[in-house]
Amino acid sequence: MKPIRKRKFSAEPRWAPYLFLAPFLTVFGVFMIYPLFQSVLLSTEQTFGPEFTEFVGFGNFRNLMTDPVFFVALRNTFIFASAAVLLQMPMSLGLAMLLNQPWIRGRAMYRLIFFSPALVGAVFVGVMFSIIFERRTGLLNIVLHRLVGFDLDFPWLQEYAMASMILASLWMWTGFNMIYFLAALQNVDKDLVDAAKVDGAGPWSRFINVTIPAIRPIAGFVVMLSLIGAFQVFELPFLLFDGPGPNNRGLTIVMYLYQSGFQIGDLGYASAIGWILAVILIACSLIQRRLSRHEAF
Amino acid sequence: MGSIGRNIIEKYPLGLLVVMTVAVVSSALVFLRGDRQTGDVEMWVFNAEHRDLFLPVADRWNEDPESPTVDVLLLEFQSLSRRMLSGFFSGTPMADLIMGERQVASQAWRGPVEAIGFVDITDRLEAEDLRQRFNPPSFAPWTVNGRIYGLPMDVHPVMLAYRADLYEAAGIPIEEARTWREFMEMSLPLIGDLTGNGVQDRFVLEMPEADGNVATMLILQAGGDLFDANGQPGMVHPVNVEVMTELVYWSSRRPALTVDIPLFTGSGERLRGEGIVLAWLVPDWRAGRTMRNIPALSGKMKLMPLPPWEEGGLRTSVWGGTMIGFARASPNFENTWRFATDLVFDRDVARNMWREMMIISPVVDFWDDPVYDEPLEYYSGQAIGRLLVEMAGDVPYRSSSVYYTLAVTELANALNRLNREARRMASPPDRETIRAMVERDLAVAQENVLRIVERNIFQAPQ
Repeated sequence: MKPIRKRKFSAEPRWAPYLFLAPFLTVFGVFMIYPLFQSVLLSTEQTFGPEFTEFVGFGNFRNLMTDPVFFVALRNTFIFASAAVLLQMPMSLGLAMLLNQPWIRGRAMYRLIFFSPALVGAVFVGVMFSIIFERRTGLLNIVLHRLVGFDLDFPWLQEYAMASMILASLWMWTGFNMIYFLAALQNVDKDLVDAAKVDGAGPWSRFINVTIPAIRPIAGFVVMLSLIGAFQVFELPFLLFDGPGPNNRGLTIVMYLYQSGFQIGDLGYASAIGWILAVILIACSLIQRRLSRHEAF
Repeated sequence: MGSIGRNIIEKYPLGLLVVMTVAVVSSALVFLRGDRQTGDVEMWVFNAEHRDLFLPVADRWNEDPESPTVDVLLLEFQSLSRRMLSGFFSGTPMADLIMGERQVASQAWRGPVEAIGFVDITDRLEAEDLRQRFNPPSFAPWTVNGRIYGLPMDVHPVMLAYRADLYEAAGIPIEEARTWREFMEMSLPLIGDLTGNGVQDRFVLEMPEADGNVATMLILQAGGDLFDANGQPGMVHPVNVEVMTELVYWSSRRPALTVDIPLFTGSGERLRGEGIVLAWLVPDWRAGRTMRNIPALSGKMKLMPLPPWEEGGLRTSVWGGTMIGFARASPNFENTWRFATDLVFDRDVARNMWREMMIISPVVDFWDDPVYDEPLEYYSGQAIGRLLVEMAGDVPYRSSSVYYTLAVTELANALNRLNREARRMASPPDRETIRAMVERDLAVAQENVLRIVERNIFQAPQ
C-alpha cells in the first residue's frame, strides 16, 4: 500500500470559503457597497465636481419635502404603478387563462404574439407610441376617426399623458406577465380542480377557491416585479413625450432624478431622490413579504 | 504539432482554450495600441456639418510643417457634454477646444466662478481688437458676470416663414401688417375648417406647448426676458405677461389662431407641408431645415420680418446658439486661440456656413459677402441671406443663466396649463380674464425656477 503523502501546501479549510467568495465580495464591495455608501454621503452634500463639495445635512431631503414638482413626479409614478397592478395583472391573468384552454387552436402562436412586445424594449415602444398617439397624423386617431368618427385632433400626449403611458405599458408588459401566469396555471393541481368539480363547485368558485390560492406565490412575485418596474419607469415616458411631457404630466420619480442630476447638475439632490425611491421600493418589498408569509404554498 | 501543444489540447476543454486565446490576443492588441495619437490641438464638435466646415482649415494647418497639427473630432451631443464636464471636474483627458451649444456650455457655470472650466477670453478679445468684429448680442449667452467664456459661432436672427402662395392667391398683402394683431386679423380669411369635417384644419401660426422656445422668442422680441439683469428669475415681467396673454388668447379664441404641432418630428413637418399653418418662426438655421425637410413647399414660401408687438417695435428675435470654448486645462492655449480665430475669421468658413447650414456668421465684416445675396428658389426667389443679415444687428440680448433651459420649460408648462384652462371655459375668455390667469401662472413658473436657483449654494446672484 502506498503511503499517503502529506501535501506541502494546503489552505486552511476555514479560509477556503472566504477565498472562494473573495472575487464576488471584491466586485460587490467595489461596485455596490462603496457606491451605495457614497450615495448616502452625496445625498447630504451639494457638489460641483469633486473639488467643490458642501455638506448640507438633510437640506436636500428638506427641499424635496417642499418641492411641488417632486410631488407631481411622486403622484404620477404612484398612478402609473397602480395601473400596472390594477389593470395589467387582471389582463395578464385573463389572457393566460384564455390561452390555457385546450380547445384554443394555435395557442403557441398567440403566446408568441402576446409576448413579443416585451422583446422590443421600452425605447422602441416609446418612440413607436409617440408616433401612434400623435394628433391628426397618429395611427390611433386616424383609425378611430375612420371607424367611429373619433376626434382626429384628440390630444393623447398633450392632455392625457398618463393614459397614454399606461396604454403603451399595457401593450408592452401584459404579454410578458401572461407568461408567468400561464406557467402558474399549468401547475395548478388537476386533482384539486377535479375534486372541486365533484363537490359541485362552479367555474367561478373553482377560480376563487382553487386557482387563485394555487397561483398566489407567482402572482405575488409578478406584482412585486411590476411594481418595481413601474416605480423605476423612465425611458418610456421620456421618449413618449420627449421629456417630462406638457406641464410635467409624464414626469416620473426616476425622470426627476435624471433631470436634477444630469440636466440641472445637482447630484446631491438627485441622490436624495434616489434614496426616497429606494425607501418606497423597500417598503413595497416588505409588505409583499409580509403578505406572502401567510400563503399556503 | 509538438507534444506540448498536444498535451494542452488533451488536458483542457476546447471552450476554455478559445476564451483564453481571445483574452490574451485582445489584451495584447489593447496594450500595443497605446493611447490614440491626436493632434497638437484637439477640438470636439457635436455636429457633422460643423466638422465638415472646419476640416479644410484643419487640413491647411496639418499640411503646413510650421504649424501645430489639429484634430477635429465629432462627438455625440450628450457624450460631448459628459466628457466636457468630466474633464472640468476630474481632469480626465479632454479637448483643447470645445464647440458648445448653450445648454451644454452653461453647465460649466453652475458652480463657483473660479471653477469654470473655460478660459476667460475677455481681455484677449480686447487686446487683439477682435471684440468689435462680432455682433455684440452674440456674446450674451457666453458671458458670466461680464466676462466672456467663448467665441460665438452664430447670430441666429429670427424671421417669419409664411405661405406666400396662399396669401397671394387670396390677395392679402401680409408683409404690410404693422403689428402681430394686424397680422392675425389679416390672416383670418384663410383659416378654419376647410374640409368641413368639424375639425379646424388651418391656423395662422404654430405654437408648440411642450417646447417653450417659440414663446420665448416672442417674449424676447417684445423686450421681455426670463431673467432680470442680476440673473434672477424674472418671469412675471409686465412684457412677458402681455405676450403670454396674447398667446393664450390666440389659442383659445374660435377659430383658434395658433396650433400645437411638434417642432422637429416628421409628422410636424408633414403637417406644415400639408398647410396646417400659414406661418412659423424661423431662425436662420431653421430656414435651412424647412427647405430640406419640406421640399413640397418649394416656391411657395417667403420670409418676412416678424410683425412687431407695437408699431415701430423690434422685428426679430433669437433662438439657439453655439460657441467655441477654450479648455482651461489645455496646455496649448496659444495654438488653440490661433486655430479658433482662424476658424471664426475665415471668410470661406463663414460663406460655407451659410451655403451648407444656412447660418449667418457672427462676424460683422463678413455680412457684406455676396453669398448672402444669392436668391433661393425655395423662398420664391428671395435672397433670404440678405434679409436675415439685415435683422442680425437687431437680435435681442439674452441671459446666460445656467437655468435658462429650465425657465423655458417652465414657460412652456405655464402656457400649456393656461391654454388648457382657457379652452375648457364655456366661452373663450377675454384678454382681461386671461391676463389675470397669466400673472398667476407665471408666478408659479417663476417660483419653480427660483426654488432651484436658491438651492445652488455655489452661485451668488450675477
